[in-house]
Amino acid sequence: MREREAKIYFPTSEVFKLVIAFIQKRFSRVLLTVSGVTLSIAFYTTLVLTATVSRVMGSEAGTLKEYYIWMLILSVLVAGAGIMNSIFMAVAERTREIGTMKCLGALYRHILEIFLIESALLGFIGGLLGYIVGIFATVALTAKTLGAMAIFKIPGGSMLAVFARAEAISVGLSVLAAAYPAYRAAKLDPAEALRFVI
Amino acid sequence: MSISEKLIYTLETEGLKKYYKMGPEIVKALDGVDLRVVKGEYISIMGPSGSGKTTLFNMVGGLDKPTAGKIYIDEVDISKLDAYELAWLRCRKIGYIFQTFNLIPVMTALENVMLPMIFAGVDAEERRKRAIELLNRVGLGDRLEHKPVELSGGQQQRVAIARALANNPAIILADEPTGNLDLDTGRSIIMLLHELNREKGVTVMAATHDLKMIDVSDRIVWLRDGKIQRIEKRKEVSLRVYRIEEA
Repeated sequence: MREREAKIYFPTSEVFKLVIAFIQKRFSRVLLTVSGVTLSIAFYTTLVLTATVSRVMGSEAGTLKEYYIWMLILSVLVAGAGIMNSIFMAVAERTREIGTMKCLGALYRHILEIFLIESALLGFIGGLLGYIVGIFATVALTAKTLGAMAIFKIPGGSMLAVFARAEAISVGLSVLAAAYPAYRAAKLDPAEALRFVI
Repeated sequence: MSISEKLIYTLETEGLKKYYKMGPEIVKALDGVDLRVVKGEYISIMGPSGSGKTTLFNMVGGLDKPTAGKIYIDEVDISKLDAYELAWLRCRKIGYIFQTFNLIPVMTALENVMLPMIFAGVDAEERRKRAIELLNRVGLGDRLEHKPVELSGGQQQRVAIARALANNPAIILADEPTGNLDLDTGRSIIMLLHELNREKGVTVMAATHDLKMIDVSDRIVWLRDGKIQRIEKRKEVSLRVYRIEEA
C-alpha cells in the first residue's frame, strides 16, 4: 500500500487522450506539418513502387537511380525540420501548461512522453497519407507504359513491406525531430514556466 | 502539555533565504524567513510587489530550492527531496491556485479537476465521482463539460480551487488568487476559500495585496524586502482597518 501511495502515474491512455485534444485544437497547423511528411513519404513510396512494378513486369528501369535517392533524403530532411519547428512552437505555446502540470505532479518523463507521442502520431498519419498518395502516383505513372493494373502485380507482401518502411521512416523521423524540443520542454523549471507569457 | 494538545505545523520555515545573482549584484529575494503555520490555519502574506511573496511561495511549493534554510511540510524537510519526491509532494501535499487560473485549455472543467487524481493513481470511477463532488461544492455542478474559454474568470478560479483540493492536500498555496478578478468575484472567491478552509480543515496560505483577504485570515504576515516585518492576528488588523475607514 505504501509502495502504491508513493508513486506518480500518467497512464499512456491518458497521455493519448491529451495529445489528441492538443492535435484537434491546432488542427489546421497540424495538417500543414503533416503534409510535409506526407509529401516526402509519397515520394518515397512512388519511387519504390514504380521500381518494383517495373521489375515485376520485366521492364528495364527496375532499380532506383542515385539522384532520386538524394532527392528522397532531402525531402525527408525538410519534413523533419518542419516537424521540429512544429514541436518547438507547441512547446512555446504550452509553456505555462507544462509549468502547471509539473505543479500538479507531472514528472520529467511525462512531459517528454506528451511531446514524443504527439510527434509520433503526426509521423504515423503523415506516413499513412503519404503511402496512399504514393500508390495513386505510382498507378498514374505506370499506367501508360505498363498498364493501369500493373500495380496489382506487386505481391501483397512487398506492398506491406513498403508500407512498414514508409511508417518506420516517418515515425522515426518525427520522433527524432521532436526529441530536442521535447527534452527542452521536459527540463523546464516549473517556476519559470509559470511566469512565461507569450 | 500532552501529545494530543501539541500544535501540528503544516508548514515551518527556518532561516529561509533565497539569493539571486543579477549581474554583479546579489538580490536577496528572501532574507531569513522564520514562519510557522498551524494545521487548519488561514494565513495571508501581504506585501508590496518585490517583497518576496512569490519567491516564498515557490520555495514552499517545492518549485524552487532555497539558498539556505529549511522548509518543513508536514514535518518533512523538503529541501532534502529529489525531483521525484518533489513531484510527489506537489501532487499530494500541495494545492496550487494561481492569479492566472492556469487551467489546461483543451480539457473540460471536469477533466481539469481529475488531472491531479490521475497523477495520484486514483481509479477512473473514483476520480470522476470526486471531481463532480468538488465541482458541485464550488458551485459549478452545471458546468462540468465546459472548457476554460467557455467559463468566466471567477468560474475558472472555482475550477482551479476544486483542482487544488482534488488530492486532499495538506496546504493550499494561493498566489494572488483575486488579482485578475473584479471586486465582487474576488470577494466570492475569498469567501469560498475561507469556507473550504473551515469545512475541510485544509491549511490555506494566500499571497495578496488585496485587503479583503484580511477579514478571513487567522493571521497576516507582512513581508518587506525579503523579511517578515510583522505578524498580526486578524483582530488586531481589522480593528485598525476599521479605525482608518472610520476616520
